[in-house]
Amino acid sequence: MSKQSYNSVPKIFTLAIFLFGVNFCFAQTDPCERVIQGYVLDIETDEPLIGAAVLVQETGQGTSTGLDGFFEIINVCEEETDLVISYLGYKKMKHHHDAHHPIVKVYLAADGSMLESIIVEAERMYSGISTGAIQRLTEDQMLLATGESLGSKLTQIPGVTTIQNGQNLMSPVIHGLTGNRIVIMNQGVRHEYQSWDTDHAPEIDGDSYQTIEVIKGAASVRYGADALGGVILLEGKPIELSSPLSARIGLLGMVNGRAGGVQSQVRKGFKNGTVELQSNLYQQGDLNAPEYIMTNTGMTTASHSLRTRFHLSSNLDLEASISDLRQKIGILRSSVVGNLDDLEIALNAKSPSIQDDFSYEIAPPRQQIVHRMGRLALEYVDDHQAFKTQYSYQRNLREEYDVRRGNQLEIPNINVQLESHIVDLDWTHSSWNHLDGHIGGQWKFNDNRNIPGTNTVSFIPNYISHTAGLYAIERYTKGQFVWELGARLDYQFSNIRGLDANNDLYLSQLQFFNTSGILGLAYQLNEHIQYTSNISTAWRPPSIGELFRFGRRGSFIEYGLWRYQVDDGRLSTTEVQDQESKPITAEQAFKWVHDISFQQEKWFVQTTLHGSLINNYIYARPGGVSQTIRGAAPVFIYDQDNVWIWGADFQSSWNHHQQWSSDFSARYIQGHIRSSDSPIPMLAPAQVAYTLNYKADIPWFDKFNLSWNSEYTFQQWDQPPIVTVDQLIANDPDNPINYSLEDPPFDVLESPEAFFLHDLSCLVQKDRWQVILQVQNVFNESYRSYTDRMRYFTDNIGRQINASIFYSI
Amino acid sequence: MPFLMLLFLGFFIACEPEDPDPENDEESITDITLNFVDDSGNTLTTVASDPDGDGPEDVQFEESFTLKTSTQYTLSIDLFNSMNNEDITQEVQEEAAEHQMFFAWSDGLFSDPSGTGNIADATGTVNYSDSDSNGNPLGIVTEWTTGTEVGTERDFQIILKHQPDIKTADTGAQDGETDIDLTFTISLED
Repeated sequence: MSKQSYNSVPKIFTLAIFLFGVNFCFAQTDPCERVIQGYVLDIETDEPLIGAAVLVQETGQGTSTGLDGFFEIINVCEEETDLVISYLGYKKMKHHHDAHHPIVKVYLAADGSMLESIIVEAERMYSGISTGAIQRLTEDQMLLATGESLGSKLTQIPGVTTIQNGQNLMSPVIHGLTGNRIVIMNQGVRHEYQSWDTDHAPEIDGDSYQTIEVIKGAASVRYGADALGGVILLEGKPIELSSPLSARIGLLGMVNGRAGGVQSQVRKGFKNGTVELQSNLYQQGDLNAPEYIMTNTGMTTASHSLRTRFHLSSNLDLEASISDLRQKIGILRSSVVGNLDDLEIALNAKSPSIQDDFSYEIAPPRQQIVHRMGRLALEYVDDHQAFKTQYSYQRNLREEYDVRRGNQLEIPNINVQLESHIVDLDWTHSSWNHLDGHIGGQWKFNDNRNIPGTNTVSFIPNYISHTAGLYAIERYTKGQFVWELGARLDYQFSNIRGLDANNDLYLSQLQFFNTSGILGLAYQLNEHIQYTSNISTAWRPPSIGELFRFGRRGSFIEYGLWRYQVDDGRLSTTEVQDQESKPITAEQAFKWVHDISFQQEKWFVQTTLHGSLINNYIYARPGGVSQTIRGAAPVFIYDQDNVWIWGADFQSSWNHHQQWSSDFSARYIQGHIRSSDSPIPMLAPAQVAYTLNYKADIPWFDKFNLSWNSEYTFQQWDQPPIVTVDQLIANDPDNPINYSLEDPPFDVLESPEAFFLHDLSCLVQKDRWQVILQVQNVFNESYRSYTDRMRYFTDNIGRQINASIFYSI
Repeated sequence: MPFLMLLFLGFFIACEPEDPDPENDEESITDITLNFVDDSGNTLTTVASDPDGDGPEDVQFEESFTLKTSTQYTLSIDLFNSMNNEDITQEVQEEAAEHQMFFAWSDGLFSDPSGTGNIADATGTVNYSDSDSNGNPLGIVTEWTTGTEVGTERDFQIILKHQPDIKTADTGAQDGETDIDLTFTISLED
């Protein structure tokens, strides 16, 4: 078995599964006519293991794998069996197999390896959509990104970028859309948070998931409102029944920010259930840019979770899990500005004005978040169908602290609690005349409450909302083609109560009916080329923040859609609007995604092309400059317009030699507001990246991988018009030249110059030990990123050296 | 099972959101009053106000404000929050160690202090009559002598800076965050 053959066979296998086996492959009905099928592969190389023994423990029936690692045991009578899979030089494994579960894929680990042998019951993509561009982080990618935020991990997938508010707040962006235009599914539960602002990163500890998958398509049909740009799916690793106790403990350390962390995980499979306990703690102090300290950029995170599964019968599984995440996130002290003059001083400063000695203290401005989740899921599987029902509860507490006068410093100026209850039902039916699919529904209840005592007018009101959705997605498979067709109906009702600046109550109600759909095709041209294409729609009701926000955010003043009106070219905010006085239409997106992949012995190439039209896109645009007691402040008003976005992602890998390989990736995206043909602000500039990997064959080590990554980010040429702070200050409200009510969004600074960053990483394994050493921004380059709001105030983080060590039992 | 869950949920779920509690905005300053008191105790007053706070309306100044030439005045500044009927002056005085008022004016408006103030140039002279616990100036109370020449429409700018942890004898109008930045128009008459 030469290593040069690399993973070509399994990749084709994966494609085949991708085409034909995304959902359940149902076994025969009659007793003693059941068949167990599967593949046995090497966990590290993905190569088939030929001649591996597979035995049904109860009956002694057995077989060995053929040339492609495939095995088949026929005439099995038992509904549930224990399979024993063994191969010389590899760790033997026992797998509890249900007749109702799909083709098994057994990954055996070599005797000396620290990895455990595992089973994957069909290459089950979590997405439930099979004609989209779907990508998953590899195990090595996950490992090397240990300790990084979810947003940062995801940027390893071409087409996924981040919008940042400094190093600690990274929101993932899929094809130019973020926040409440993408959906995050946390173990099958839609993550509910205050997604109305891009400086609110999702409250998720990326290190507590083993599988991270991204759907780069409008997926409302399966996931409901908001899935305009795509969906991020986070899953844990399934645990085998009757598997021995395993534990993993890790220590993390980072030089920049003098950060440290502890990660621990304990898992055990019992005869009728499994349990997993996880706990991650992390603390970071002030970070350094290459030339100065960035005061108040510390952070702490504590996340804990407990996941259990009860195997009630061969048909029935109950899953229950709880998790708790607490974060305290510092925001650069020097980013606080009171008015345009302050902003100009900050923009002209070579370095941030406030630079204190290193500290772990996290003073205002900062965000404090607690996110709790509880989940209960019941899954029934028989020969013809699978039925899943899930209830989840989430509680999201968000406190934001601004720099306020003395005795108010420790009083948050935003303090909101969002509670969510979600019930999901999903019925998957087996193949019937080449047709298989899902039918399901979702009901969601949100209750948002301002916690009194902020001593400031609430930025968003109290509200409750009910959302109900019904969907059906069917797939027709014939020959090399898979056709997919889906439709969904959603209803949302919201009831809002808020106070205006004079503490007068306003009430509002909102209702939306919406339909969305998908039409997709997957075509396997030959064993090398696979093509998928889908047109899908997604919708999004305006968020409460976009409708009702009112007041100052930093040095800007913002008015939501229903908090202003324009009379004779002048803004007025005296009346709070409603659906009657100022009708608002939901955002409606149409997205077309093509994905072509080519797989050959030494080559893998994947290209994704995407184009979106979004009608009634909600965005902030200039509303003039207001003279306030604090001086001049620019006003932004929320408005709706149609936009288009298109782009391409490219990814390839090339195995030069058994030890050397290269990866190359590139991305490009462009988006404009249609009426003004002005660029959408904060779209990530083009990027190309190259990685050289070397797998050293050092006898004493089980694994010794080195890689060098160079990433070139272009300047964003297609940026909104520039209106300088000087021009804003000089703006005459009665005779606006630089900045009027009709203008498109603008920027106060040119986009930062292109930058070239280099990373070095090393992954070493020996027995039960695993060590990761990394140097990021090797040459300590000073740079600013266009998609980071802190670029107005500071350079990005300088060189980072981090090390982590893991021990597994 | 799901139906039971739905029933169970019914207990928790209300159809109406809670009424929000009114919040007293204790930070905003809506009215700034300049009180110029001469030796004989006569007070001349002008007010700048922005009653809609973060609303789009600009700050309103009184139409005309006139001081006498060659006269010594004590200026005391009142800061008031009309949304909450709260005096902010005292609060700023209590936190004198992290606040300072800076001034700039058209040349000739005052003969003492000479110059054009300490906003553009932090070393410019202003006659502060109050100070914080570290002996650094605050500027709620200041001393002025008007210029000798009659004139109209001269600028008088005041900036209140919030400088927590950074205020020293050397910090100027470029440091910290701005709480107030207003430019009044003053005329001089004989």
